[in-house]
Amino acid sequence: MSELMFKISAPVSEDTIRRLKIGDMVLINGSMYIFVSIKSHLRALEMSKKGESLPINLKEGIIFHCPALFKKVEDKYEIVAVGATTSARLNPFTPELIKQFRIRCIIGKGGMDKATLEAMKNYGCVYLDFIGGCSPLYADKIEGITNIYWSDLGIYDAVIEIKVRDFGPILVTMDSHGNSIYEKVEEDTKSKLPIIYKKLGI
Amino acid sequence: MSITYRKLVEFISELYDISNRTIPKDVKESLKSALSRERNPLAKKILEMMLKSAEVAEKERLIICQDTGIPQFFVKVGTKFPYDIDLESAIKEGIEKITKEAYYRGIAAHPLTHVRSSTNTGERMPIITYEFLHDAKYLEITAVPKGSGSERWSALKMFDPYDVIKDIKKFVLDSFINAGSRPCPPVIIGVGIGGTFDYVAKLAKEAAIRPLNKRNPDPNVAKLEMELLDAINETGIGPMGLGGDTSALGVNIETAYTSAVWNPVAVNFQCWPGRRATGRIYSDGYVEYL
Repeated sequence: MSELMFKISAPVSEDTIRRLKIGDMVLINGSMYIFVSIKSHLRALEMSKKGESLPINLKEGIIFHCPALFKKVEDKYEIVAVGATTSARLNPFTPELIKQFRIRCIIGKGGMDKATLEAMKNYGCVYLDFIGGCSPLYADKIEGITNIYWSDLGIYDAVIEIKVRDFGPILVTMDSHGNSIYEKVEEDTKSKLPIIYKKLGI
Repeated sequence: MSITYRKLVEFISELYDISNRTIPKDVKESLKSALSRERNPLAKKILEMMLKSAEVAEKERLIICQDTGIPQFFVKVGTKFPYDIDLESAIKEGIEKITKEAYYRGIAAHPLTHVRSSTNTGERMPIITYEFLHDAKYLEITAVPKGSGSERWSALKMFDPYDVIKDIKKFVLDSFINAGSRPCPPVIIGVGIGGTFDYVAKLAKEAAIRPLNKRNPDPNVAKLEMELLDAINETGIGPMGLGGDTSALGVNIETAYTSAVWNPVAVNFQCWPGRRATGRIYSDGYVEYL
C-alpha cells in the first residue's frame, strides 16, 4: 500500500480517480452530497431513466452514506454529528448510479458488493471508508449545509449538499482497478480460519 | 436536601448524554495497549484516529457517533434508597429531555409499523432492567446507547450439551465473523453462557458492558475469555474490518447455572467506543459519576 495523500474536489476527473489505489488517503474540499436513503436513490434513478434532469448536480460528484444528526436553528438545519452507515444496503442501486451520473467517490462503511466494484472499474469511481465513532474529528471540517434537495422526503431521506474543508483523511478501500481491501481481508480471514479452529480444538 | 423526581430526571438525562460523548477510561486504555501491539500500519493509523476522536469528544463535549442509539438502562436499587419516586417515568422523561435538547436521533420505533416515536420512548422503551443492592443508600444506573451496529448482529442459540466448550468457542467465533466490520471493530464481545433463553441474553449484555480490565472471577471462565480473544484477534479482520491484529478489545463472559439437558449461549457486541456511563444518585440527591 502506497499511503499517499490526495486532495480532491468535485467535479472529479476520471484521470484523478484512476490514479488512486487502495491504501491511499484522500482529503476532500468543496461540495459533496449526503446521499444515503433508498428513497433518494430510487428517485434519482427513476428521473434519470425517464430522461428528466435532476435538481442536483451529481455529475462526477462525491456522495456520502451518512445518516447525519441535524439540529434546526431558526428554520435552518445544522449538522450535529456525522458518520457512515453500512453501505451494503445501497448495493442494489449503486452500480446504476455510478453509470448514470459518473459518481467518482462514495464515502461509507464496510464496503460494497462485486457489481459495484465492477461499475467502479468500468466508469472510474472509488470507495472511501469513513472510520466509525470519529464524528468529533470532522466537526471543524464541515463548513455548513449549502442546499437541501428533495426535502419533501423528510430531512433524513433528503439529499443534502455540504461544503467541506480538508475533510479527511479518508482511506481508499475500493479502487477503480478492481481492488478491494474488504475482499483481501475476507480471503485472508478465510485462509486463517482452519488454523484458528484447530487451535481452539473445534 | 433530599432526592426529588426532578433531580432524578436531570440525573438520567445527564448520564445518557455522558454515555454519548465520553469513551470509558478502560476502553481508552485498552485501545492504547492495542495500538502498542498492532503491527499493521493501516490498523495503527485507524487506532490512532479512534484515540484522537475519544480525546476531542471529551474535550469539546462532542457526540462520538451519529447513531446515538436506543436507550437502555441497568438499574441497581439500594435497599436503603427511598424508593417512593416513580423511577420509570423519571427515566422516560430524562430520555425525552436529552433527545430533544441534544438533537439525538429519535430512532425508537413501533415493532410492527416501524413508525418512529421521535422521542426515543414508547411501549417498554427505554429498556430498563432492575436489581437490588443490599444495604446501599443509592441508585446505581448504567446508561447504554445501543446503536444498530452494536445490537443488530447479536446471536443466541440453545445447544445440546454434548460438546459444551467446543460449541461455545465455535458459536462465539462464528458470530464475530458474521458481524464482520458492521459493529465497528475492534469490538467488545459479551458472551452469556447458561441460565435460560431470556437470561442468557441478559448475561451477554451485562458481559458486554463490563469494564475491560475485569476478568471473570472463575479462572476457567477467565481462561476461556483470553483464549477466545486471542482467536478473534488472529482472524486478521482488524479495526473497521480493514485488516490488522486488533479485531476485539475484549471477550467478557458471564455465566449462570443451567439445565443438565441443554446449554444456551448468547453473544452481544459493543462497537469500539464501548459507550456506557455509570452514575450513582444518593437519597440526599448527591450525584456521582463513576
